[in-house]
Amino acid sequence: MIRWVALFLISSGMAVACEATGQRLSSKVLDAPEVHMVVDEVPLAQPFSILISVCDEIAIDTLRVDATMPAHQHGMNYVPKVTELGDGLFRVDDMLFHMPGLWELQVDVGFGGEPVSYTSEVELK
Amino acid sequence: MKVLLTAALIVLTGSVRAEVLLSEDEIQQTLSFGPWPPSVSSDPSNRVSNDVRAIALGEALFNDPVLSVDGAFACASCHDPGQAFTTSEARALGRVLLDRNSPSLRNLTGLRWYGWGGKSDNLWAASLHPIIEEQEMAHSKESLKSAIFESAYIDDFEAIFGGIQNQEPELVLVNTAKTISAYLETLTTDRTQFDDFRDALEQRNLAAASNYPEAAQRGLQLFLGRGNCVFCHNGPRFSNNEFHDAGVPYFLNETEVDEGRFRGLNLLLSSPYTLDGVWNDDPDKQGAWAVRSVRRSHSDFGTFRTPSLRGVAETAPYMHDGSLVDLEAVIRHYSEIDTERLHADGEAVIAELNLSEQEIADLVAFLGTLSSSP
Repeated sequence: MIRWVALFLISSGMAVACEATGQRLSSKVLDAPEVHMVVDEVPLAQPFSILISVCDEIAIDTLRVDATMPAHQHGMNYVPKVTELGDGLFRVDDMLFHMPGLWELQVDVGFGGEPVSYTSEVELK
Repeated sequence: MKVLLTAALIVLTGSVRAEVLLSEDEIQQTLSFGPWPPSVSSDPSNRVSNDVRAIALGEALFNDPVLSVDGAFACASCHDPGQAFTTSEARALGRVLLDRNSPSLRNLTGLRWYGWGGKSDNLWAASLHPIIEEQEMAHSKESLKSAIFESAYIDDFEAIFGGIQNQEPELVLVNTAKTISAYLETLTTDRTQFDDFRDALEQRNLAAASNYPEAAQRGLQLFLGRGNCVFCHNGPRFSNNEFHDAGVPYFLNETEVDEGRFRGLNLLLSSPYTLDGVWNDDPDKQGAWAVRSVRRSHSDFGTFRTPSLRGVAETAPYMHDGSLVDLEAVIRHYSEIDTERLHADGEAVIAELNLSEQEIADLVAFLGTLSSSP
């Protein structure tokens, strides 16, 4: 929670310092704008929130977040709620990983009508 | 890395060697099943949660047939306090033989979902539904109001909620359910042999930890490892409180099926008694996020809520339809499971385990240590 608040205060007062905040998500799209994620400890089978920061001045049409367990062929039982905070920053609530193991987080960002997918893996014990 | 930790125990009869068999990783996983009991707070959605008068009234009503329209039975008829708040019947007997096993009612505070199909997101709604279900206690809101008014409990009810004549029948129904809920919140399972083991591991007291039977330790290792049990049975309650296909047939007869979570969600999303509704006493509506954000899926069909394993040895028979008579039958079910019965589009968690007789006995031994009186 402390890390989350810190990120919000920094980003609301100046340009988003993406390189210094959170984990960079990967994309198969060449030269895709940088997207970073900040998350506190992920609790098992309990709701949690993440922050997504998009490091580009291109207008963002949409931002959707979901997650799956590839080994188990299922996703989350809840639809995450995305709230835009400004300056390319988004808060994502209602995330819940109900099983231990490897989860794959997927973030789909629409840049001027062009969707770009980003992923990150989260190992939950 | 497997670390065999040996502690010598000195007893009156001499020296006995006992071991903690768990690896460091297994010990860390084991710590996640506690501490027990967990700290709990009052239910903000229920203004009489933790109210001693409401708890006493709820207990009295729970055990009194006044809550069934014809005085035929009480909550306790299917949730017998003398039988861990369930019964030994495979399926509950209401006005007809119901489709599901009566779940035990302990450790219910603060869950995200209630019931095998999760049709309630709070404990007072879960307490309310059986009162008005036609196949169960069959009250209407009006008949319940009359029954409470004419009962010996009217003074206690009015002392808590004010004059009953000024209350709409639906408010009387909700208030009654909230006293039941206040009582159910007090029902918890005691600490167990497993909790002593878990706490000893946390304190790095290996001598104390080694008192835990080796058969139970081997069973715990299977539970955490090859058995895959921990995928769904995790946390201090040994349940992720979500919904899964455990390979138990959901056909009720040749033409009917128990839709499980699929129907539970239909009922939940049409219910006025959720945390997102007007009967929630919490202005902040904490917990309502789940009913707002829950995702519907075809794979919900025939899935059922993961039951807690706390006190499990006391609550036979097992599974949503009570079809497995004892814990050994449950372990054999998962050991020999026919994966063809599982959802084609469901999760790939359960697989045939082919456990040995020793492994089955070890898992049963472990589960027995989750009860204070196995």
